Amino acid sequence: MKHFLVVDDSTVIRKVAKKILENLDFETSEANNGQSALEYCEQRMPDGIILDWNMPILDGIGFLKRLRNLPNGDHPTVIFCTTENDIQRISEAIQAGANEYIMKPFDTDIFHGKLKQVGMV
Amino acid sequence: MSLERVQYLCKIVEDKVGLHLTDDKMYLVETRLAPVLEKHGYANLESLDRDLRIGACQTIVTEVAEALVTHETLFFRDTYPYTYLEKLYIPDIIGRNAKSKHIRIWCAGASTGQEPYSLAMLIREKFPELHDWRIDFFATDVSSQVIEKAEQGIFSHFEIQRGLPVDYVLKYFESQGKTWQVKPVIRNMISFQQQNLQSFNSYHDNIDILMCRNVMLYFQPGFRRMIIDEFHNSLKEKGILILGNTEASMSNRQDLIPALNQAGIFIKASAALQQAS
Repeated sequence: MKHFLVVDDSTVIRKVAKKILENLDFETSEANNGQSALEYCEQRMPDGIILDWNMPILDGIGFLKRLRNLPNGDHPTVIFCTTENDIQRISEAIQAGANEYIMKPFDTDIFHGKLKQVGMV
Repeated sequence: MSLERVQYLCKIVEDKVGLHLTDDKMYLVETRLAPVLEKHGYANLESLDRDLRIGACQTIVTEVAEALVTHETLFFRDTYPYTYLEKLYIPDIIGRNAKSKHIRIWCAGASTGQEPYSLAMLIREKFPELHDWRIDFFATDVSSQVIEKAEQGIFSHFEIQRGLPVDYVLKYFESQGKTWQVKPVIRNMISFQQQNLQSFNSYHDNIDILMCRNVMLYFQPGFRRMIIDEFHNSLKEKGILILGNTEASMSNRQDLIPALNQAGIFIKASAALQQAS
């Protein structure tokens, strides 16, 4: 079973994303900021990460840059999550190592489509 | 609203554009026609129905038909037709048309444009050698409103997320606040036109790539056969016809050969191939 880490400071978003992923037969874990997520990945590297942009302590971009420098840090497929269709922001996330992006609010169809695009389902 | 009234409205759609609404889609009628009622000041569906029966103006008849047609679509829908075009078919055309440097493409039932734009982006992105070729690219739909939206190439962030890889978003779209617009480099590749598939004399000819995906399933079998015959006439020898993956059984013509393991994709057989088989 593939393992997904949901990183978002919103409990609602974490809950929605986890439910969608679990319905698609993923094992899920969660973190509420970039620093906790980084510590999690040092212990156990997930197969996929859904990653928020704005978070306390360490934001999404900061996490992503450090993740990709960890041993096996290039393994997870990262879907970057944003509320704005800011092309600069999306571009920055892709350059920092995200594989895809998704805009909030998302539903099961969109999420499933993104997972298909990155070959996770 | 009575079933008889709903069936009458569905009959108008079939007469006007050939699309057959099955009973299971009739529940959509009231929701879909609400904007038409509001626009023309009808209090309810009964008053619209009454005007249609006594011969309402053609504009209203067209708007009723357009409102009831399904326009569901997304970028790179089903993926595999685009992979097939990229890996096998377009390289083959490039070889065959090397002298003329000319390709003709027709997306029929193009809806709001996601499919033609997907194909245009694919060509631009994967085939730089075609940049000095002449590409005649037509995208047509029965609905003038829908084809107008397609031509503008403006999509919501909901639409942009459905099927479109991020690389393509970054390269071929401009952010406009809450919407995204396809860049002119892609929009200018395509000629958008309103077209009713019942008008066989309006069909494009000498086509290399003909996409008409998830449209045929709304037509009655007899009309489907007629359209397939006309599509066959529109295609060049070895031209490709791409229907939806659930529409694979809709052609039984011997001279439209199903592509191996590619549901709904057919290649027009050359005369020589036909004689040999």
